[in-house]
Amino acid sequence: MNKTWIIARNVFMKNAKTISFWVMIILPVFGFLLTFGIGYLAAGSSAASSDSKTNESTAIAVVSTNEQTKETLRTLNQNFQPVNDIGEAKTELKDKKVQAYVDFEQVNNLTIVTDNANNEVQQKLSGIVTQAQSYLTAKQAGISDQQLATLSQPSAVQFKDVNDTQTLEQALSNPETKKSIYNGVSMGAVFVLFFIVLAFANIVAQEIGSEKGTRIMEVLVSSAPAKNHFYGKIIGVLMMVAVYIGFYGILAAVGLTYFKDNEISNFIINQVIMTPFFMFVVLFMLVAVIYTIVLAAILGSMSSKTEDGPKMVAPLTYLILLGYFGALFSMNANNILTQILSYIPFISSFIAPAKIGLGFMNGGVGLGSLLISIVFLGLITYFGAKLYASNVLMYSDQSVWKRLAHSIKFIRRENQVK
Amino acid sequence: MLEFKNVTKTFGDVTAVQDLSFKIEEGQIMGLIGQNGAGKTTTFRLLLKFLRANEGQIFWNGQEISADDYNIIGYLPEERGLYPKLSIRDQLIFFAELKGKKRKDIEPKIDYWMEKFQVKGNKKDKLKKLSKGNQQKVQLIATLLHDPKLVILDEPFSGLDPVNAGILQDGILELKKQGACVIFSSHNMNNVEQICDHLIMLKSGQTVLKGKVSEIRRSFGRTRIFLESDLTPQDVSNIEGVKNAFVHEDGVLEVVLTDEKAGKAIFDLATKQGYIPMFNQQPPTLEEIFRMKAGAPNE
Repeated sequence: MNKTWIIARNVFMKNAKTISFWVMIILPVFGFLLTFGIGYLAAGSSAASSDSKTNESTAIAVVSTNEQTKETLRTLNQNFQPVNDIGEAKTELKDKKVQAYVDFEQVNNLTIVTDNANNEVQQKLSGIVTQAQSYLTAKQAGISDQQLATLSQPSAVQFKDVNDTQTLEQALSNPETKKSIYNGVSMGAVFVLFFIVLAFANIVAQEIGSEKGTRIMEVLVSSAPAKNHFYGKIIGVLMMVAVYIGFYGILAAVGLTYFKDNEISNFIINQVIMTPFFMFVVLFMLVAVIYTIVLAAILGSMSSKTEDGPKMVAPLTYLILLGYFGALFSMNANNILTQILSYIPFISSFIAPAKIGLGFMNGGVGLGSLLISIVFLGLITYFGAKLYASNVLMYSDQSVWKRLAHSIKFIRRENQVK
Repeated sequence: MLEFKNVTKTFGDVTAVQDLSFKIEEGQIMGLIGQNGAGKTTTFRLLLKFLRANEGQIFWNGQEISADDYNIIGYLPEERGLYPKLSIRDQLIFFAELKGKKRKDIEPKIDYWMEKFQVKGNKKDKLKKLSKGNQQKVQLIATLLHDPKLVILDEPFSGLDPVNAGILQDGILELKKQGACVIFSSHNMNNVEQICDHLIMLKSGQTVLKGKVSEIRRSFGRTRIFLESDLTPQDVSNIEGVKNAFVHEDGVLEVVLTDEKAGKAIFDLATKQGYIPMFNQQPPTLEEIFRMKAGAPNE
């Protein structure tokens, strides 16, 4: 069996057997479910709380000396508790036996007295009292119950938004909408890419740092040349990335298949996924991930101890941040800086998709940027293998830059030897 | 057969190994000794092609050694390292596969080696569960499991208790029987003396001693006398050729000579009254030679 493949398989299997790897894969799903779950529960709880507040006893003391009015009100709504005078009503309110009291001696000029500041409760009280007032006024005007019932029918009036003139299909085919969606997709891709590369940069550096720290490296490179080890590591970590992306790819495919008759789902498949734009996004992402693994492997090989890993990948983290913020910045500006950054290998993987999404970069230029990035990736990988070979047996406490300089010097010196 | 032919390695102005030459035939063990920084690890790294020699060549069976020969090499580095979270079995299979062996061929051998080295633990146990001594044994099994023809052991005895050092010594002697070339470094001269056929001592990259252990010792002359008699250090100190004398805790008088011929005069003096239980005239021990050579200025 090819030694590079044996190393790749070992890297993959070693990590695939850890809980942390699967937690890393599933965590975003839980995060998503948790966020929406909490939101849903919070909304439900808020509604329930609101309902419970409004459902509190809305008993209202109604003051009237007229026995017929008292009887009518009692029949009209069970919340009404007729009393004989204001004093009695005030006592009931003070003792929290009622939410409010209303003096019905003057039906045309009613005042609801309450100590409940809740707006919804007040509205409910107002609704009950207004209904009773209307009923009593109608009775005074000699309107029959049947006529009153007709008058009480909810009005059949509809609202129409003058702006709402497009169907969903028309809206989706609108170029501006399409542009906004492409922009959203590219920014979403940048966001996802940011987290993937940060996570895997640390995994790679940790993996190599621990092999150096525990001195396994010497045994490994006495079994297979360092360059095989380097390529094996890259392939092994790429297999992990494939599982990560594959998991979400399957989730997306299942989701889109389930909602295949949905207009939005169809739009996503035909107008987003099956387009050159999406292909660009995927290719730029793939290139960025490979860059990350290669650079993290080179930097990780400069570790001396297991815990050196995160320290060594700091320069890569800065590059990733530069790409990420460059992409956010290019959303609002198409200036010379972001134009230049969109051609710089690795950084371009963050910025170019955003620019293509916004229409600041056409397909031809995007392809050029992608090719520059791929060529540079090839060179970095080739020289990375040499750097890796010189780094893996070097142990130093110097800064990452001094270690790099030392490593380059070592390569030159070894190359001078026949 | 392994052959170093006039190998020199420099790092800038520093010469790590200078004009090193030696041969190890099949079934022979060579000890590489020297103080820290003498060039032992550089020699191993040159042999493993981690470094390129400035001058000279290294041959394995007449062909210049290359990465293609990795499969026949078993290397135990000075600082041990294995995967703590992997099981014994998984990592032994991984390392053997890297040496070109098939899983099905290796798996049955794991039990044999674990039993031979008396590893206390199950092969399905994660390495981190084992004691340090047992982890070292697993590392040694990883070095030998693929039946290497060339075995490089960098300080194999360090950190081992006498029992485990004995087990390791037996293991190395078995490799010799099987016809492997073994090269190892050690600071423990007793181990070197007991198992080495040949010896090379490096000092600042230069070869200061080379040859069979017994011949090297004899070349220093029989300058140590151990005797049990009535003689005191004062009795022998005035004899010509005596450097100094002292009594060990067990009562044995040790006389250090500058000239081995002085031995006869001491023997005559000690046996003047007749029988004595011990008179033993020996060359200096390897440890004494090591100290002498390490302290001497570069030759």
